[in-house]
Amino acid sequence: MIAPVLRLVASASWAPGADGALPGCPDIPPMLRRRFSALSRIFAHLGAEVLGKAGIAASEPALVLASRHGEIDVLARILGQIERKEPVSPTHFSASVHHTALGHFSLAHGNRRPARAVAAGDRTWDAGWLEAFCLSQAHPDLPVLLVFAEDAFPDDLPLSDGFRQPPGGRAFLLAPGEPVATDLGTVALEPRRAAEAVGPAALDAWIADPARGALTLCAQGASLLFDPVYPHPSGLLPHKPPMVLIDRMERAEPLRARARVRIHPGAPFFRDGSVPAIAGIEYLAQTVGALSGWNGRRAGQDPKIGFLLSVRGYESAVGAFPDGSDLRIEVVHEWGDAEMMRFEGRISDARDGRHLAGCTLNVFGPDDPRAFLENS
Amino acid sequence: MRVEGDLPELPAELARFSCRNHRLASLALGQILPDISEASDRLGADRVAVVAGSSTSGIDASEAAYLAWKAGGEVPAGYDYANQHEMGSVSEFVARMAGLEGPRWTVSTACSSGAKVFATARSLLAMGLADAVVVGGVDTVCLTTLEGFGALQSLSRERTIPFRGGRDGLNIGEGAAFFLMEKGEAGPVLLEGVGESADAHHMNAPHPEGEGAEAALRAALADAGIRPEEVGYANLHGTGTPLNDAMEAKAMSRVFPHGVPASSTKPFTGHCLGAAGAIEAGLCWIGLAGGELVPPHVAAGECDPSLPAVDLVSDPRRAVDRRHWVSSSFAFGGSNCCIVLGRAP
Repeated sequence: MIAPVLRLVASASWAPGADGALPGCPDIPPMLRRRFSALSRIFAHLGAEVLGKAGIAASEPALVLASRHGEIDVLARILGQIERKEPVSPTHFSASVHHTALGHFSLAHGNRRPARAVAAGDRTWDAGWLEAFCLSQAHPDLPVLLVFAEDAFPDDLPLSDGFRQPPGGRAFLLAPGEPVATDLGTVALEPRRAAEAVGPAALDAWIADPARGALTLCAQGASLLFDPVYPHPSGLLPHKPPMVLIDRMERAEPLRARARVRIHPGAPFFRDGSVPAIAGIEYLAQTVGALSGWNGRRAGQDPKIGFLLSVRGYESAVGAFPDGSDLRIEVVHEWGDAEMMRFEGRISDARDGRHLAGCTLNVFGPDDPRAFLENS
Repeated sequence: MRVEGDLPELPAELARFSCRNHRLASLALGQILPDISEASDRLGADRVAVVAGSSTSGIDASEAAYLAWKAGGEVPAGYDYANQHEMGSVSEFVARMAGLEGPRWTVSTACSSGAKVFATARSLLAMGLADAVVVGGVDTVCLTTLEGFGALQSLSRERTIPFRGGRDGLNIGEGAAFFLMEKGEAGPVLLEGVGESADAHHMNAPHPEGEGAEAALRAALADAGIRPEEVGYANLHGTGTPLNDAMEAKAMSRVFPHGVPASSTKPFTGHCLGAAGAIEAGLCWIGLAGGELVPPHVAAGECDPSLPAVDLVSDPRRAVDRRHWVSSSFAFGGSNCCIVLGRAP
């Protein structure tokens, strides 16, 4: 099973200012806007902001609203009307459904895309992300506008003191395709539980960090893997093209990394329709090198030369990687620190996860490569 | 239309979830609990997810508490906003009752909730986030929807007959339906397609020509990879409101120009709102698994002559020989969802 990966194109958040006013939503026709609930306004405001940043029309994305309490304030008003034996306002009732903000956004912008509203108590954050991935799985060509929004919790409900909160919201625009430099990064979903549950604050901090690395969040038994848009491997390796063999970095944590290689007729070592599987050793070694380059760059250093000391047990299930192959190259640190290290390497088919090749790599990365070379 | 008779009491450890809505859910869920337990034992409790649909959850519990509180009385003992009223409490309750530890959430898009859950559940399986999903919907008659639909003048005083001339509104019902869904073709009925669309027309009225309904129907057929002629039966949304039935008849006549046996089963169940899509999928399931015997339409001969003709099924013993069936659900906010179910070949 392959982790689906989406571009994280843009994000925005909203909280009330000192005057407590809701977003003005000047782009919404006034006749429609006056029917908007608070959540409709927050959704429309945040949606316009992230779509504007991304240059995507509001009619384009599929929509997800994740809200724990939904239209709780509208419901409280309806309860008040029922209690006072007044007629229930049709406008209030129409805006009382959990997905009101989706309906209003669709109306305002002629958006006819699939749209879902979800809730899951204190795990609504997780549910929103997972539903966004579900929508993308079913509609892989569409961008997805994911909005988390809560209304001010009304004072006028019994036994709900613990839920009093100001209104607020966050939005993310997700899209399919290869990441571009202006993206915030990528987010992948993996069906394995992350070590620790970290919530929205960790993601906010990650987005705000210009030197961001990889971030893993837990989402209901699955993991959300956030990655920056990594520099091209030529900026992380001391090699010069055409000897940079890996196409792009997909993930770089301090002790593990993933890269991608696409096999095509212009690729080094390509002949007779494929690249011999033995080239996989160099793909793995360069992924180790790029990981080292990324770790160094975050510490303010230029890429350094490293040496592949030995390779143990390289086995490959295929003799060659045929034209059109999309390879995922993974290395995981096994042992060592500072200068001497051992990595486990694995090459798989990025489309179906099939194991293609693997080995153990022993590498030597001298602190001062120039001195090392001059003295040897 | 209310479910009559006593609803089961919840076990003591689930007492905080005890409201009419969740007890109704427990009634349906209890019928497939042995199957869920078997799947949970086989796959692991953390590999079985829950996707529940609901429009109003246990809001009726909040209504009773609110009215008692405002009258200066005591809030009813056992009232618990988070575990009864909150939308997420539906899926949480289902997971707890079934002893499941997989991902769980509630999908709430009013009257299309009980259909959209199937789309979410299928994606969870496709992405490997779960190996089985308990999927379905539940809703309870409550003052908010009674008074609200009343304010919109959408309620009929009589037992409504959808598609009949002079129909004047819907009857609200309540109920629940749950399924155990797994990958593969092992079960008697398959989820073959899902189609979603939005009207982008009006908050509480459908597009008059049924454009959104047509788009959802066509998307569901395309997703299932079948042509309209291959469909054996259509379970209509058929609420009995003048606007819904008119637009739905138009959409059906465009998607199925040669006609398809169809019925609205809402006279038997009432309009169960967020549970309707799941309940009607359940009726299709029973029909498909039981020899393609289709649910009949009440007073099928009295179809409104001003509408495009719909082949309403009058014979309760009528069977069809095509194994792909569709079920439609259309909601507030122009939220449309159609699903295709098929008998396993």
